[in-house]
Amino acid sequence: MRVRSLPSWLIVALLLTGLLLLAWGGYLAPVVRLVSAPVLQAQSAVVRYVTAVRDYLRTPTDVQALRRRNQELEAQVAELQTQIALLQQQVADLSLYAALLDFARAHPEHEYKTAQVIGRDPSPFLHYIIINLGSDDGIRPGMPVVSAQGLVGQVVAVIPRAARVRLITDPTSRVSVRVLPSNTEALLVGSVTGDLSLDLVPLDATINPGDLVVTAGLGGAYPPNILVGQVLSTRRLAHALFQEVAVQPATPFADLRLVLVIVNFRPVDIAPLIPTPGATTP
Amino acid sequence: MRVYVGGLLLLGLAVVLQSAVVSQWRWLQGAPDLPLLVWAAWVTRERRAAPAWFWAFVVGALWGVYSALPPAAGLVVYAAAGLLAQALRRRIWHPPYLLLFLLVFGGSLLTQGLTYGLVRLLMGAAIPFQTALVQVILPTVLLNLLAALPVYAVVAEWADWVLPPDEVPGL
Repeated sequence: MRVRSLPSWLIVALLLTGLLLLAWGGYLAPVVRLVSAPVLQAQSAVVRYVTAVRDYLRTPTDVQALRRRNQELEAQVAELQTQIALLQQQVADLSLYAALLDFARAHPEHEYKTAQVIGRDPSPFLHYIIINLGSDDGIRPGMPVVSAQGLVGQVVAVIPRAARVRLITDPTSRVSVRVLPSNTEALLVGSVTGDLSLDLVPLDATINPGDLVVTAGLGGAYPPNILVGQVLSTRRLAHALFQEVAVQPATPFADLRLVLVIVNFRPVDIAPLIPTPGATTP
Repeated sequence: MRVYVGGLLLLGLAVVLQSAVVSQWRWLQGAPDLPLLVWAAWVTRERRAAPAWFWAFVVGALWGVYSALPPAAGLVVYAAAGLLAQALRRRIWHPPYLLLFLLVFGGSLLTQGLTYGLVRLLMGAAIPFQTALVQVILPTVLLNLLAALPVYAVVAEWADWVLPPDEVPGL
């Protein structure tokens, strides 16, 4: 009787199954370790080389994409910086407006219009500013101008959309003032250096550093009781008729950006009342 | 025609910048006089288009608009600088920087000195001469001399753009 031989595929299958069972059972671990080591090394090498080639091929595209992204981000940063600067400017303006509002609330007897300082006199000898309100906005010559801190000056010339304001620091400026608490009246005088001083202060008047200087209202050019500044120093010279009094202005004239124009004050022209030599009274 | 428009724009911009910005750049009480600097650079660069007094007249008129002094005062102040430029341009041809610095130095002294006189005369400001000299005139002259070259560089670029050398009349 002839015994039929098993098919070769079945022998191989049985053999593989046996090997698998042995491997799962852990009996082939040394053999697996021996065989897998070079295979894994080869696989790692293949992966490494393939990755290197792929990276080499993709790098130019990545650089271009990165550069484009970098430009986008730089543009975004510039835009954000601009926005920050604008917001900081708005915050600063807001605080200025708030200070002006406080001043207006503290002096409710006046009507105000807020104006922006848009220019200064081109000559350093003259202390004038130009504001962005004019006759179209109801501004008239003679109207007093104040800041949140105190007196600024007076409108001297007007065109439809702008006005020129003479600062109290101008060498030609004269303001009738009162020193508190002594109630001494004096004349505030500007100078080319921007320093303020009091003129016509009697020698016996009691004035001390730190005393407040406010407008007196005499002469009709300015309303009374607007803060002008503080007494900085006093000096009495033996041969002089009057004291020398230096005044620190309340308004920071170097940083003047926003001002208030008092629009309901009508200055009084007292020039006709001042007697002139040779004139006869009826 | 282009050179006149270009000159007017340049000088107008200088006066606006002077009023809005440059007048606040103080050293003591002096400030750079940008209209004078631009005018000096312009007449140094553009010798053929128009006489120096013409541009001085333009600057003086523009300056008078912004100043609290009477408008004619600006014309008087810059007319003096224009006369100085006419006299110097006849004598100095090369190098241009010598003419520029002489114009800036002499023009600054003239304009500031005349302005001081007019402020005293017309506005009654009692400014002691020594104070004016030390606090305003000399600082302004020095600041003008320091700023002369940078301003000249910008004006020269502008002049080349407005009127290329091959289009200058007479060249």
